[in-house]
Amino acid sequence: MRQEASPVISLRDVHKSFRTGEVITPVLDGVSLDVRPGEFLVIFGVSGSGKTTLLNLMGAMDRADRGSIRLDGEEIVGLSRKRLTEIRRRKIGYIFQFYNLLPTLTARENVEMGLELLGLDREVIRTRAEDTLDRVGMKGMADKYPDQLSGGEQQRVAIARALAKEPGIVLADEPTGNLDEHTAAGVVRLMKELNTTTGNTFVVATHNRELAGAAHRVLRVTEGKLTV
Amino acid sequence: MRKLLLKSLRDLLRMKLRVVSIWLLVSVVVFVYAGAFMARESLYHTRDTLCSRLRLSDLEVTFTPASPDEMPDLGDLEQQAVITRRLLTPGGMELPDGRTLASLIIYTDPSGHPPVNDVQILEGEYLSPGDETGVVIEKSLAEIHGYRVGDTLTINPTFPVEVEVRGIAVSPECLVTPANPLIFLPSKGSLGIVFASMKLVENAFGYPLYNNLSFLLRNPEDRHAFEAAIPDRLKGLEIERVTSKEEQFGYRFLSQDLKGFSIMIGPVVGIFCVITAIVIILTIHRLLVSQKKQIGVLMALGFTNGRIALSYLLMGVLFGIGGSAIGVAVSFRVNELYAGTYARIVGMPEVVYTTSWPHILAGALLGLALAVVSTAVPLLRLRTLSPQVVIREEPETVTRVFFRPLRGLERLVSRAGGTSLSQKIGLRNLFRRPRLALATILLIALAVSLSLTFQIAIGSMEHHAETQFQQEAWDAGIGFRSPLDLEDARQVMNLDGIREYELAVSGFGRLLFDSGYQDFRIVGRAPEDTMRTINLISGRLPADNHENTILYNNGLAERKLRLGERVTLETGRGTFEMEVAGLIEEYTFGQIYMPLGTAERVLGMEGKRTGGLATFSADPHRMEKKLFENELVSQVTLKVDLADIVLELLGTGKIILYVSLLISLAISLLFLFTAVTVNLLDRQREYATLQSIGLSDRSMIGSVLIEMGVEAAAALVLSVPISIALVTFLNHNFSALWPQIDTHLALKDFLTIMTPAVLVLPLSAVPAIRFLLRMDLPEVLRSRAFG
Repeated sequence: MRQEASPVISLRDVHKSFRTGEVITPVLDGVSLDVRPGEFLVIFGVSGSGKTTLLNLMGAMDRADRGSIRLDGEEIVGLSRKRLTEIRRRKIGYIFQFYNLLPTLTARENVEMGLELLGLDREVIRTRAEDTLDRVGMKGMADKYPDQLSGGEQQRVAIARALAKEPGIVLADEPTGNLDEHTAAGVVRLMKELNTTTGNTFVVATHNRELAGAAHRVLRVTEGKLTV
Repeated sequence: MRKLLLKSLRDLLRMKLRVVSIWLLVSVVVFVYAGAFMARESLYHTRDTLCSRLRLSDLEVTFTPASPDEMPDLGDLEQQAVITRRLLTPGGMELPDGRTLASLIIYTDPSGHPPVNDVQILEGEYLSPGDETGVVIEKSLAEIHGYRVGDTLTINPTFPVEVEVRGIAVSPECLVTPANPLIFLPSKGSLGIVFASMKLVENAFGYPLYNNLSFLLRNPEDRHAFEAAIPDRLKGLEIERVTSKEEQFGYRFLSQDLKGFSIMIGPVVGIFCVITAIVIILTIHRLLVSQKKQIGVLMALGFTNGRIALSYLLMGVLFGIGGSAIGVAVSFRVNELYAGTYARIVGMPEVVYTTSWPHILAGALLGLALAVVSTAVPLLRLRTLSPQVVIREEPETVTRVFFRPLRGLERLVSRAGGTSLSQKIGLRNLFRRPRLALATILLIALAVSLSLTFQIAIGSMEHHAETQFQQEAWDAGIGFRSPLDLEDARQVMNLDGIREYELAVSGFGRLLFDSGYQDFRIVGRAPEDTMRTINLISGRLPADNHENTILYNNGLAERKLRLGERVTLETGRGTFEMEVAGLIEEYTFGQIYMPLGTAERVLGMEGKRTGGLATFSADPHRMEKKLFENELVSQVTLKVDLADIVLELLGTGKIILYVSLLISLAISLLFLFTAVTVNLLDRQREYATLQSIGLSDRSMIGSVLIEMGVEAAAALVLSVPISIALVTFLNHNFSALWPQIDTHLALKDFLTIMTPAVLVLPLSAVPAIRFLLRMDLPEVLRSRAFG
């Protein structure tokens, strides 16, 4: 992790609330945060605390009501949908709690899907997908469909999908939330190892204490605010 | 993009049942369109082939009977045309059951088949020179009135002769089963045509007589010049009428009637299109809802909304290609079905099928466009979605403002329904998932209303036929063999059993247009005549008995006229300028009405009558027989027989509707199965969860049946207004052809369709219920609800 480089993600006074019918629920209340390149940052908080919302804002999946969000120095608040999509395509790798693999594609095809968007050569796509699956220990299961894999195996494939495009930033929302303790520990080790070997910045939202223990830094979200 | 398209293909493979039902729906649109239009082309082709094969005359001249000495020299004409000389005598013949049938005896040279207006022998043999009393009958006398080779019949009431049937034949002059063109409504089997040897005439008169020359031009392009020269070249003959091939009754009737295909197929295909579109829209919408998270992930990965939409649009393309391919393949059979059924009903001897590639291509493109456009509609909402909105849990059970009243209704219904667990679960499923329930109700309603629409349309048509003439004040239309002086006509009608009568004048004339001409039967009626009801749709009835006005029917007319339009009428008396005073609707085509005095003048029949209308005080069929005993009477049409006649005239429409009904019944059945099965299987996790917490099989089946029962009941209710709207749309379009048919709602029509639907619906749930009862609970529960 580089100590003194510019932050790869920077939030300033970010506010976000949700509307359900006539009810407006504030979720984030003036959050400010800098994430350093190569950092393994854990955002801790109970269910409903706003950590997923924070992750989605960082990942250009949602828009803040007000405030500033910069990714690699680029202000993303107010950008067009087209530009946000481009950012997600090239700079963000997302890992979901429920893996969210496409059920009608094999493990390999799920990983290749994200690479196709980058306009790479077919052979490069194939090689990179295989290498990434190998890296997460899933090379032998590359041609299996998600319903033929265990939860842990599916999450590994999801991690491979996020990393294959070499995004720079990996956002993980409760990546071990659906796994047993042993499998979760394995996934945590994998993510930590990948953070070290690839240099990708990891921001993980979780309430798993073991993940918190593996982090360079832990922040807590409580009632819409960030604390150390 | 490649993986995205691969995903779409595999998604389609997983929803095989839905894909097959959509393919079938799209194929229906394609094969009804292509098949029906090919049938029309086949029937035109059949007409042209038969007319060519049997050498139907290009021109026919009818004149007052003349002996060979009185006939002009035809040598010059024979350079330009092949000619057949005949004597045509209308009359009546007694049928084996005692009824009287209008007849036409055609005396011709027995030495061989005629070179023009030939006949095709179906059974037996043709006339032969040595056989004076042998005759050949037109096939409708065999098919409808039961005559066989070897039977005897008596012809020519003036000089009765008993003859024997030697052969049964097809004539190009009777491509449709002979309708009596002098009766104001053509009717199958109302005219018996007999071909007899000219020797019979020679025996009676000492020499042959001719009143008909049929010409087959060696160069058909010379026809107009040839026709124009007829009066000069046939000097000495008292010419009554010159008829071109296109004006020949059977030929013209067929041409006009086949137009019905074009007018009717459009709305029928339109109905199938609407229903197919709704099904595809609902299917894709449901798919998008079930794949919300997948779509969110794709957006998170960086796929644009446009690319994602394109991947789903591929499904639409595949729906279209598959459906169109099936539709094209089936359209050939549908061609046979429509054309074959029509030919059987109108009495055509055979069908010469043809393939119309432009219509096949148009049908295929229609199917493809329908599928693609219908798929695109629900995709429009993808434009405005963001990944976060898509991924966030937005369960169908969220009761927004619109659905809040359902909570109160649910409580009310639950209390009224009782406390059984099955009822609670079944009703809860309906009210807590209103969109799903509404979609299922709509699909079932569409399935039922598809068949109900055609059933009601047929019922309306039959009701219309039965009631159409009830308002008419007459019992019979009577035609005289030739125009009679007023006094003689009155004597004919002053028959015991005739209560009242109105005499009329009719004849033939020609309306001249810039682009050509059209022959019409002219009917003159007194303005004060109340017996015959004229359905005036615009304009006025003539007030003066001598005004130069006509009443015109645009219905099946080739040339449409406007109110107030001035037209030129040409008759044997000269040309007359007429004005269209009123537009009417009726089933007859080729007929115009004018004041009686005007008709007398233009037809040269001052003080004469050609027939009339009468009311009876005795049994109509007995009166019919009595009237035919008078040799001056050549045809009688009874009002009691008109309902059947009208239904026959509506034959084209009925064929199209019956075939459409059959198709819709098959589609509806498949639909019902698919809608119910998909609905149940989509929620297998839910049922698995219920079973895992202890819900018994019996309770589960009970809840499924209750849910389905309520949906079915709602669907049946909804199908009624949908069907009425569709039938009204159909009948409105049919009014371009025939008098307006009002939508008639009969309980029997509803029961005919709804009773089987009510029986089929529970049966359609059986496969899905069996699956739910046998599913592997752990496996189903383990799988993520990640659609």
